[in-house]
Amino acid sequence: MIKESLAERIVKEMFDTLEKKSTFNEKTLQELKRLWETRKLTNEKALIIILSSENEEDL
Amino acid sequence: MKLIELEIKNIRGIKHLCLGPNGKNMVIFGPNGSGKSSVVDALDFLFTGKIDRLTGEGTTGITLRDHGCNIDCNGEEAEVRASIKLPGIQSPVKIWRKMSNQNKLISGSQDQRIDEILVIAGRRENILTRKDILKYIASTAQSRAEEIHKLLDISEIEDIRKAFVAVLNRLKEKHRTAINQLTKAKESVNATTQEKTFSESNVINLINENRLALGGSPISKLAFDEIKNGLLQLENVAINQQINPVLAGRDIKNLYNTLSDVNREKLFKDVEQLRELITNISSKPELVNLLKQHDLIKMGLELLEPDGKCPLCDTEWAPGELKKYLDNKLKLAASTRETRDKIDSLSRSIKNSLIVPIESLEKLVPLMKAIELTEGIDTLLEWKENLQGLLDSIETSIADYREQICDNETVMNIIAPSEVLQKLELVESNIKSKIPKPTNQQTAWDTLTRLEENVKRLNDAELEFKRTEEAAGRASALLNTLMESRNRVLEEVYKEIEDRFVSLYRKLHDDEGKLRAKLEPTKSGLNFRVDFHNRGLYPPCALHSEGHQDSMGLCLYFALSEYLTAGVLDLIILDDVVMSIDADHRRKLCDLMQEEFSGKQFIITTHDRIWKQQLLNTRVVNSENIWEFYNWKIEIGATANKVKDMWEKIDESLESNNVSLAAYYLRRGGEEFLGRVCNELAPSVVYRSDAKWNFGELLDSAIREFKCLISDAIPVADKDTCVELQKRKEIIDDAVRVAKIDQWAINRNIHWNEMWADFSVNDFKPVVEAFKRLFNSFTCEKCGEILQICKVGSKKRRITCKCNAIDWKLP
Repeated sequence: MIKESLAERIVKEMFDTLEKKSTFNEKTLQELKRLWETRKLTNEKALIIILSSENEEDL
Repeated sequence: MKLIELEIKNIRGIKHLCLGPNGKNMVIFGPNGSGKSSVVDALDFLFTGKIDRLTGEGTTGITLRDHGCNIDCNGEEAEVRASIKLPGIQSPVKIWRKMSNQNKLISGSQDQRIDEILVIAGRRENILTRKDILKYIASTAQSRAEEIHKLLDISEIEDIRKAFVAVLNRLKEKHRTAINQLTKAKESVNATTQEKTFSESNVINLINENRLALGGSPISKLAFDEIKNGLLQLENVAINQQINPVLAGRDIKNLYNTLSDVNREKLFKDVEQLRELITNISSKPELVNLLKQHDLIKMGLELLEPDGKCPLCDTEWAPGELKKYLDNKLKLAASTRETRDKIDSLSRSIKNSLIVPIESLEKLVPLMKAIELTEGIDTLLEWKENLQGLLDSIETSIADYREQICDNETVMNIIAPSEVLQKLELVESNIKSKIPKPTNQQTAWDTLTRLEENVKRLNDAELEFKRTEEAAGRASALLNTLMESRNRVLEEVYKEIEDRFVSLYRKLHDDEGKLRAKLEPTKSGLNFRVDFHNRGLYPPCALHSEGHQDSMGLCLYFALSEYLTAGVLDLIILDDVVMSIDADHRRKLCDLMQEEFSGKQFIITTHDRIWKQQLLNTRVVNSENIWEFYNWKIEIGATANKVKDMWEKIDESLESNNVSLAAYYLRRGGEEFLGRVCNELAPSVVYRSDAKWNFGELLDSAIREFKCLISDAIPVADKDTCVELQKRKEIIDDAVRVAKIDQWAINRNIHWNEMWADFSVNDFKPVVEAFKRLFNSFTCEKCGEILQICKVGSKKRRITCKCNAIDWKLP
């Protein structure tokens, strides 16, 4: 009955685009999605860890 | 959600009040200060736990706890209770909130859907005040965006955006540190290779020369774990050899180079020039600002909105003016470009000249300690610390253009202290005499060991550079994707709202032709521009009147509210929002509410009698749902009564033996009633410039028109309707006969004088009954509403009533 909130729509759109463009690897994307689901996408510390650790094994 | 009943206790100007709109539109009418807006505050508090009026600009020191309750009460006694009807839920639900527990809205039902609906109501989407209209219309793009985003409930996205920006800045800062570390690592390699500039191929060549000396094959990649890869351990080579006079000699050579006249003078000149530049800049604050602003202005020009609005503060500029201003400023800032380039080049050269001796001293001093060579060690240590201090002061000065570099004499002493050359010569000769000359293979091994250490640092720095560069890139991509997604979604939403706004506003202001409007999200705000008589799009407050702006605010709110709450929140509270709208457009607003929002429940506060009457005449509200607020007193708060039916007032007056008052109510009430009849039946009336028709004029016109309509309807009516029409005609004729005769009685009692003072209650009662029969003949027996004409174009086609129990065709 209740419409999906606009914030939810925007974040969903963001993840769809990131997925389509393959901007991040699957693990990073999942970690970011987990942050959103737990309403912690504003957690700067967690974001820095996630964004800094991608491809660490490749480097 | 619709409001069935409302009970307010000790909120703002209300002590105790019960209202029962029963899910229908309600008008709260009364003079200023009668407590009308306290009802809005109470509803605001009930749904949101806050009172918006007590927040925002100019409310410093005002709190809900201290000022939300009635002045004579405390939080324990203040509460709002309501009975609400929710979509899909059969029985009304009771909800309440107490001031003593303001954050908790209690619901009398366990149904989960209620919580979801109440969360939406908690966003305050259903209340519109004049203050809110100003927020949407006469505000900057940024604050409009903030208000509308609040309404759209996407403040969370703004919080996420801010977090992403902060993360991007932190990662960029990390990357800047990594760049510095990489520069230092390259200089460390240079200290070993004794090259002036870093070249990967030269380093590989040197490695391969030394590998060849140790019987190894060449390598092609500069990686620390490749340097000794595949080398066999030779018998005459000590693996852990650390004291190598050849390598120490190279360090000493680096230090001699630093002390050489050519190098010393160059370094001294570079530092002097840099100091002069920084001193010059720091004495001119505008130059410092220009240097700092250069990048900002460049970015500002890139972000400039097409209409010329400042992307940073949303200040309005005439189109093109801000670009011109920033271009000029950038030209000025560009004049500092040369200075900035010079500073960069000098600092790079100085850093290179300082890092090599520091690195060499870091190697030499431990070696001296290892061979217990104490003489000169303190001098070299002090030299190293001073060189490091000079390097740090240069980095700080460049970072914020503050002159921190010591004077020429001190610099000269730091670069080449008087006794250092002598001590260095002593150290060199002592090393030569104390340590035997190693084999070429040992020196090759030790050189590779040192390069291994240098390259490891270089590889780590490169790795960190790459890691931080990629992390900053990812943060930038994340932020950009969020912004693109936000804009894409909002553009869709705004387009939908924009189309609805245009359709609503056109209905309200059909005099403006084919109005266009544009809601455009910008980087930091939301532009709203409306067509002005086909002369282009302008901000609402640029050319439109205040009345038009209020209409725009209303229509924008209606469109937004409809988008956000369709089918969920049918309650709209309009608190004194038509102040600047003229009577004609208010009438159109009534039609708009009836035609476009018939499923909504409006609660409207007003002090305006004409607006109240228009709402009644256009059937937006029924007479039983008009509440009159009056006689507010500090001891008792607001007093409110349903607006009484004229017949009730007349009966009360006759009961108290006041015939004149009863006659007065009959005349005034009759004028109001007949005015509504004339409004519905559209008869011809005598023109009056003051629009104040008297009782007789209205009565004659209404009766004449109604009889004509019935006569027209009879020939085209079916059998049953014909009987009904005939019956109604007889009632009218009979009522007219009595009422017309007795009209003099009303006039006589209103314009009281001694001559007429003998009129008794019993004399006047038949007059009242006659008028009641006459007035009833204009209404539907079932719904009690005045009959109305349905037109097609200008032609009258049917006579109907609100409940459609009456539907008489016209030829």
